[in-house]
Amino acid sequence: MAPLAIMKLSPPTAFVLQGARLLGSLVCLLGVLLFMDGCRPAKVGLPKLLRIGYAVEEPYAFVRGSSVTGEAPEIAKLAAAQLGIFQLRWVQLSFDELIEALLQKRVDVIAAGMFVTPERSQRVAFSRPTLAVKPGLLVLKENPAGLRPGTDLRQVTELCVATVAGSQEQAWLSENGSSFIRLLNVPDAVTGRAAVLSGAADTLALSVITLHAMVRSRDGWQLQVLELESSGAPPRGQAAFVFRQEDVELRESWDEFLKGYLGSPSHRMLLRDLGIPESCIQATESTAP
Amino acid sequence: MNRALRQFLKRRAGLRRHPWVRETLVLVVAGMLLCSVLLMRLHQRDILFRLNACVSDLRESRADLSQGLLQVMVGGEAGSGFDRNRGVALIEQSLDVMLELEQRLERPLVSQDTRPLQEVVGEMREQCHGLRGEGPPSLMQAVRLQVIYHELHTLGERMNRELDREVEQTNRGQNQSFIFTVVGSVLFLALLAYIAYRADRELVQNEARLLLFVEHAPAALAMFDLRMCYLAASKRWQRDYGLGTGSVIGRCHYDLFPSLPEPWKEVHRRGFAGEIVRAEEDRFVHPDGVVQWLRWEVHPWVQPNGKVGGIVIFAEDITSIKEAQAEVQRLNAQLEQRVQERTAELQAANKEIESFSYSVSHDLRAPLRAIDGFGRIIAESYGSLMDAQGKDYLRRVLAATERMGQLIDDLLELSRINRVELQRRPVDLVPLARNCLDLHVHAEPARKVRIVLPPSLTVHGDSRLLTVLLENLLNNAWKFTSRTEEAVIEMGVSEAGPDRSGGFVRDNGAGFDMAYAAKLFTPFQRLHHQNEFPGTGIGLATVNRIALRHGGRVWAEGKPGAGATIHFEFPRPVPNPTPSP
Repeated sequence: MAPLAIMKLSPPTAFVLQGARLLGSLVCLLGVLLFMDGCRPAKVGLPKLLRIGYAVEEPYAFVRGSSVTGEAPEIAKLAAAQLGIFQLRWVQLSFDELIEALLQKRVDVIAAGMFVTPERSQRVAFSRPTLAVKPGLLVLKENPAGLRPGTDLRQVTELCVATVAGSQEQAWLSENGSSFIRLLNVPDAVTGRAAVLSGAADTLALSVITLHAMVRSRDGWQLQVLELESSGAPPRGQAAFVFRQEDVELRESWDEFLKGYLGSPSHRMLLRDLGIPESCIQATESTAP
Repeated sequence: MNRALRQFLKRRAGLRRHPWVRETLVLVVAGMLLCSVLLMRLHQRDILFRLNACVSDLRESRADLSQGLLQVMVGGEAGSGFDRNRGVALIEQSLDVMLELEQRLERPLVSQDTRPLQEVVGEMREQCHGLRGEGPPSLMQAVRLQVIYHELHTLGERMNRELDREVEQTNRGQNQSFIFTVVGSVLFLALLAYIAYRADRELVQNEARLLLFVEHAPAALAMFDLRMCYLAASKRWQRDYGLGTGSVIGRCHYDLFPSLPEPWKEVHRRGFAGEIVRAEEDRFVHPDGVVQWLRWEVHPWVQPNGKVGGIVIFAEDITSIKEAQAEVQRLNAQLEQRVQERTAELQAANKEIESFSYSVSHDLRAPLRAIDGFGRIIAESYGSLMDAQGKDYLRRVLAATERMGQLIDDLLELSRINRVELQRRPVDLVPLARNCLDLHVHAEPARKVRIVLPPSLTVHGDSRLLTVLLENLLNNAWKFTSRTEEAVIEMGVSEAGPDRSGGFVRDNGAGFDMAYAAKLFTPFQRLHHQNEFPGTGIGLATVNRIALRHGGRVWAEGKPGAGATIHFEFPRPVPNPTPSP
């Protein structure tokens, strides 16, 4: 068969063939570009790779097997996919490192159930809150310090309280806690739990859903959770994703997703799987902007 | 010309040397600047790199500890493989690093709870000391280790951030200073290049001017390197040696003149050896027989390193000068010969005239004596026989013979003056004058004449002729004042200059009209009648001739009725020069 170029065709036919060849080339080029970019292009102005920072604190974020999961990571995966970002890189950090890492652009978003505080809001931008949780205390079943639910931490004496460094509880206790309280700053919740178990601390101050998760975990039968009231204790915390203040478009797109996702059946199912009570959602809805 | 050439050579040598030195200096200066900046940067960066290395060590130790502690937390005490002694050692090592970093940062660091680092580290060391032991740590020990680690980690990270910030600031500052230095160096080099360009342009212009100067020099001038290749040549050189009007720069002299004689090459070699070779006049016979005279000089030129770089040849065609000199010599010789011939002829004629005069004078005297003698006999023997008229005629004859005899005597005297051989010596004329005047005073004691004589008047000459001269002058003065009531005859000294001596004889007698002054010294020329003042008219002619024979001169001043002054000058012998030391 003779090559197409030397076939004797009528001028209209050759013109149509040339146009078809050109159109085919363009389609192929577009396909290659789409393939190189993933399956679907990210929105204009959004990164193609998202680096997500997290600190291990069940049920907000933790490692199961070789994958990162938890309340915040799972929502982050869905949000990123919704925004057309399919390349995610998980960066594990200690809780008090997260904001510095974000500001130093080592990560693009924090997915660690970080509470919204006025101090933090001056440095970073928070997304729409995903959870609203009460604070609590983790103590041994024997409760040697004699603590009770609703204890006023501004009035207690001779108490060693373990707090996660950089947490809202640590900030509140440093500011408002009784002068008789000795704070033991631990890097993460796991260490705090070990501190209580080993007697290095009388109690661990943290959000109740984390503390309940600890009770449910191995050796949790030795522990109990005392819920605190708003008076005499750290305020109810609102967990949210954290962004750099200049990444407005990313945050707004993220919020746009959260607006439709939070409270949805799939969201409720996720919380149920993680052992988080639905009251946390209702509280969020009531405080959402 | 030589000075101009030397300057030209110096500037030319400088033109070759200058760029090398200048460029080297520029490179050295720029290199030193850049090296100093780079060394400074490297030194600063070395410190920062070492600090970063310390932080990296801290991170590694933290990672090891974190991993071990995680195993303890997750696996429990029994399942943990964590080596707590190693963990404690790593913590202590990290504490050491932190203290070192604090020292290097040169400012105190504080912990998260604002306690000084020194205090925190000391506390941690104490805690670490209690955490050592065999086997895996207990849960409480693990918690304590983890808390220490966390504090340590927080401090380390904060310090790391500060270090990063410091490194960034230092780098930014250093980059700015580096950029400034580089830009400054570039500007500096550009400035140097511009100066060098200006200097080069000036040198090139100077070289062009000097080459133009050499090219148009009105002399045959050429400059060669050690291979006898032309570096410069004047047009005159090219014209004189038939090299045409094209450029000969770069061409070898020996190629242009293949048959150059060996002596010339030897002269060139002597010039290369540093010798200055010259000839004031050198004769060359061209193959076609034409003779050329040259004045030439071969001068070595020296490079800045002190070595001879070649030679400069300067040559001047002096053929026309030599020909003119020869013509002058030939004419002089001809003139000398003519003078000698004429002198000989003149001397012969003078001798003949003198001989004739003497012969005539001498021979005339005999018949004159006969006339005079026989006349006197007639007067004595036959005077009584003659009447008065006859006696008067006879008396006139005798007077004429007497006068003729006087004439003959004077002529003989005049001719004798020319024959006498001069014997010069200093002669004081005053005694001679006094003797002469004494004779007159004795002869005519009735006359009242005031005589004024100087103490001395010395001239150099022949004493016999000077006596004749003085007698003639004083006789004239005595004679021409014979009718003056208050006669004065004065002799004096006159200033005639360092090489002449002279005087005068002055009287207040009859004087003369200056219109006839030129005739006074001519033989037989008389300004007064014989009856008024008798004489032959030869006296002043004799005076003039005596003065001329001595190389002197006489001249007269006078006024009719107011007397006359006769001046005379004689050359003074030149004293022998005093030998210098």
